[in-house]
Amino acid sequence: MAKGEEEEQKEVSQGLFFDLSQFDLEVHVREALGTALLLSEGNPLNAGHLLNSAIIASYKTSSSAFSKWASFFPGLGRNYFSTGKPISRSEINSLPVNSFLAASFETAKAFFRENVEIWGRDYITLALLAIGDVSLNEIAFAANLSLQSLRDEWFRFVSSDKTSGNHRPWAQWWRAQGLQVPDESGDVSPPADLEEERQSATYLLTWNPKRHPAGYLSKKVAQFEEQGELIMRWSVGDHGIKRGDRVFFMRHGDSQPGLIGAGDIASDIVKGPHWDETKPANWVSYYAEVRWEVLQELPLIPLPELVQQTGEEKLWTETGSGLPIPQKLAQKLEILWKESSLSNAQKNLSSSTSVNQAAAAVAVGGSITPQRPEFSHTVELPEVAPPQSQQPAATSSEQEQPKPTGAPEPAITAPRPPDAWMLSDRPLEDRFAEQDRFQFRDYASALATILDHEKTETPFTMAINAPWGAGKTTLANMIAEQLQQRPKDRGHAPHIICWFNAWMHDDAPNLATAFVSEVGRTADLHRTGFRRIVNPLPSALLEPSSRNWRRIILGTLILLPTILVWLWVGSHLQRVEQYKKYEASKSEPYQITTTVTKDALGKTTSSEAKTQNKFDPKLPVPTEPFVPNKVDRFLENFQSRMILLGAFFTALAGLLGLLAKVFTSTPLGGFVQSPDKAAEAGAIQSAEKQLKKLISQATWRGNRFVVFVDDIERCKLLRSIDVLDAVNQLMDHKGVVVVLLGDMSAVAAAAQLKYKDLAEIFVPSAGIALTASDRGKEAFGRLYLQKIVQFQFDLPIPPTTKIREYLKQLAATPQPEGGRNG
Amino acid sequence: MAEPKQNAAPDPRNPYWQLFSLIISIVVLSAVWFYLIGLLDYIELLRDSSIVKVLQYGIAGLFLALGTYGAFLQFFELRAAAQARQANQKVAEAFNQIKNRTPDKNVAEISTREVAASLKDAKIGDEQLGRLVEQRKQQLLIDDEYFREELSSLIVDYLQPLPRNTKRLLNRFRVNLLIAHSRGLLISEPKVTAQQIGKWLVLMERWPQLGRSLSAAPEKMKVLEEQAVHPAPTKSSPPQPDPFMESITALAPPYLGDEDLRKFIHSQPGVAVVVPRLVHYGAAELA
Repeated sequence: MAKGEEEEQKEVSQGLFFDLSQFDLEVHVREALGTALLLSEGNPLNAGHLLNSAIIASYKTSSSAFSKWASFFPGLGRNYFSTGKPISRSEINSLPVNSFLAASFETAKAFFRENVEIWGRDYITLALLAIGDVSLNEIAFAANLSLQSLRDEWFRFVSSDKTSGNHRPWAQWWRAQGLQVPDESGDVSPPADLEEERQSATYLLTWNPKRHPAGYLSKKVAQFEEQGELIMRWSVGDHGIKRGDRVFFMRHGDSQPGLIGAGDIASDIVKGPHWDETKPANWVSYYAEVRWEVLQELPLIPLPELVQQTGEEKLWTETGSGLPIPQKLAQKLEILWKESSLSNAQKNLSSSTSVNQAAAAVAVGGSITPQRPEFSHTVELPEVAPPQSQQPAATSSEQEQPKPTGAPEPAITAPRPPDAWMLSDRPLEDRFAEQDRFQFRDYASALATILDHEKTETPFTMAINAPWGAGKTTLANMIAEQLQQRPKDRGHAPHIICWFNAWMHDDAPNLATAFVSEVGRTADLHRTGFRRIVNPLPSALLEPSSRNWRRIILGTLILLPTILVWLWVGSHLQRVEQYKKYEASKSEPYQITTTVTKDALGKTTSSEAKTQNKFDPKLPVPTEPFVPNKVDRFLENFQSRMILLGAFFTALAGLLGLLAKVFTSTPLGGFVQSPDKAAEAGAIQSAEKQLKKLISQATWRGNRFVVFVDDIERCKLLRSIDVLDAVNQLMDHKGVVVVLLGDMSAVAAAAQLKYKDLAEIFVPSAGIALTASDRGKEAFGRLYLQKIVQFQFDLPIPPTTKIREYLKQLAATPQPEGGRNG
Repeated sequence: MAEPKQNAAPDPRNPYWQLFSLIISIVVLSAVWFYLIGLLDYIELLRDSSIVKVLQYGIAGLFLALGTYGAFLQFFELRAAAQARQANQKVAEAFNQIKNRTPDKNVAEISTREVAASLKDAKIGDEQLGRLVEQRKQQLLIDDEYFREELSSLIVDYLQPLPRNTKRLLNRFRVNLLIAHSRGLLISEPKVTAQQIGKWLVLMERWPQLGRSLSAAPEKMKVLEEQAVHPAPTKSSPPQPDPFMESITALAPPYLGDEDLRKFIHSQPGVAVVVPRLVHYGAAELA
């Protein structure tokens, strides 16, 4: 915009106010106005502020007009903005606005007189018909429509929506603003789907991921995506459903409930055995073939939104399949479904309004993405038609005008930026049934069965081998979950799981000691309280914070009795002293003190002072004759030897401290503190025995101790072999299972390098017919690994088709998935 | 210290006796605390002080309350475990009944509904029952001696039967059998049998390069099986073409001339029909 025009607009804008005090504002409108003031940041309100505030308010309110308005902007993220406070009554008579909005308001007032309550649709129309307001260009751009099309669409909505009772003469309002009424020649025809009287009924089918086989729906969705349509047999209940009826598909469960599909019944209803195998054999279900026109794994309309938009909750949370949806609700649902489908289809597009830019920034985790400049100033638009002569004077400066009927609408060609949210590569940690895209659950189940099986001999070391990023940690998480769940189902104690990330401890002076410490700490947590007190974990194995806590507790345990003894002794001595004074006061009421002084000339003078020999009245007066016992005599002797008394208590505290230290120092602690010295002193065997004792005490209920060692190949060169050596030397106990996760070829290469001198002259026999290709450079390393790793599971890389499906799902997933760590 | 019994011994504690003994211990310990804190009264400064009373009742009361709470938590945990053990026992019995009734039935084909029908009075939740049945099936699958015998003969014939390698191959076999079971390969057409899994494993172990080539092009297995039917041509002049060895040359040249391979491919059961399924469920991990 030229500078002159800006100044002109500024001048026109100054001093203009809305006075809405003569009207009743619907609560949604008051809320939206509050938000608009927030958006305007103190500047006069323009149409864009009002219309953006209506979008934002639609997320929080149940206004159908606002919801409809928001549906024009499918690319906008939701819930990213807080709405402003509803505007107060004192504010509504002085709302600062720009001239275009003021002019629009003047026109609108004529239509408001008939019905003084201003609704959401009035609010939007008022802003949308603010002729000449350049902020409307941004709005139209965000909606991916021309401004005229947007107004036309809005006109069709307000004039056809019967829920409002059609309370305004919309066509007149349009004409009053000098705008062409869509379909001027005749009645505006509302969209067919609104007018059409449904002949068929609508029903709700349900699916609960918890009660169906894992991955079942994933397969069906994949099939649907591949073929473009899908006919699927489903339980439809016995509520009068018939061929041709419309159905929606509801996903239940704790995680991401909502509508995931829509279609119609393509067959007659048939009776069959109940789909749930756990039900008695004589139970039946009613089935029909359902032709899905939309089917996806994650909700198109999440449950909270569905409840908010439809005002219905009970029906959506009923678990029975095939419940009828009342007609009015069904109509509302159809509209909502269409809007959401459109929104989903355009998900990859986003608008350029500041609202959307901020939404994108929030969606990528709060970081500010490179923002496009404000549309109204810099985005290149096609030339728009010059102002028409028949426009009202108030709109002489506006940049766009409605075109004559039939004139082509200038198309906005500025490209939309893609959605800017990011995906984390964190492994899955929970909700495996829903998020397991590559059916890792099958591998996890097989491996957990083996590790949990009572006949599996321990100690047992296995490896899960795969390149980086293939999903080893996810698989390990699944195995760990099953290793805890499976024994529980049988009424046994769950296996103990210990995690050690070799890479995270790569900076530790010795990886083996870090490993032993982690194992020791985990084992300690599962020992009984009695064991932990009687046989505490060596201090060297504790984390610094735990070590400090232990010091505090031990210090308290030493100091507290010392202080108590001191208090007891002190009070005893005080009692004796008190008695003595009391006795003295009875025999000699006064004590005479003689003071002799000598002056400078050598003359001496003496004076006598007489003081009353009395006891402390605050202390209790002895009532019985005092007969000192042995303790009194003993303490009396010490009274004059306070230094000795202090030394006694110091020695007592020191002795207790020394005992505590001796108590918590063990060969295992020695190994952790200095493994080399321990090795020289032959203490490794003792350390190993002690670790064995710890693990035995932890697995006292017959469960197993399963250690997952992750990222073993990511350590510095050769350090992975330290861990393997530690596993080999120190974890050789019954009940111990070690699962190594990593790219084992890298570990084999490290072993090859560590023992390169030996590897050059010696190729150990594998016991199987080695071929020339198998006798590669890493033969020694691989065979070394075989010595330690008894079973290696090579995690298959998912086939390309699966990866393709996964990408599709990722594109449609509203939130990145994942769990704990990388 | 005695070694714990691995995974076979459930927690032997009786929940009711455990609750009783814990409550008694907690009451006694609370009384001890009460008495010990009362000794503070011997300190002149604290004699007849309300602080001692507050400490006595506060600490001993807190100990009593927390201890009782913990005892009941443990009681509920132990009781749930006892019920789960009972459920597991009943499921095992139901399985035995079904096996006795239909000895030829594949374990993988026993459904939860069948087991549920045998458990008339058992109060087991649907989810727990499903998991227990699945666990039982998996255990029975890998316990089956028949599979082991089949595999043993293959190992003896085609691999160097060192104890360690035999054990490793058995481990792999069990894991792959379980994966095949989880993915329904044992009951859906074309059914994969344990013998076929075993044969595929041996092939991957003894002729890994050929295994990798076949994983990339599973349809080649059918060709190989057809060609292996014909014996190796006798030495003659001019030399007779040997289509089997020509295929081997293309797929895995190092095994050219390995007559064991021809014999192995020719042996029953054939795996050509199921190789695509074996590869799909992860046969590559056997390499």
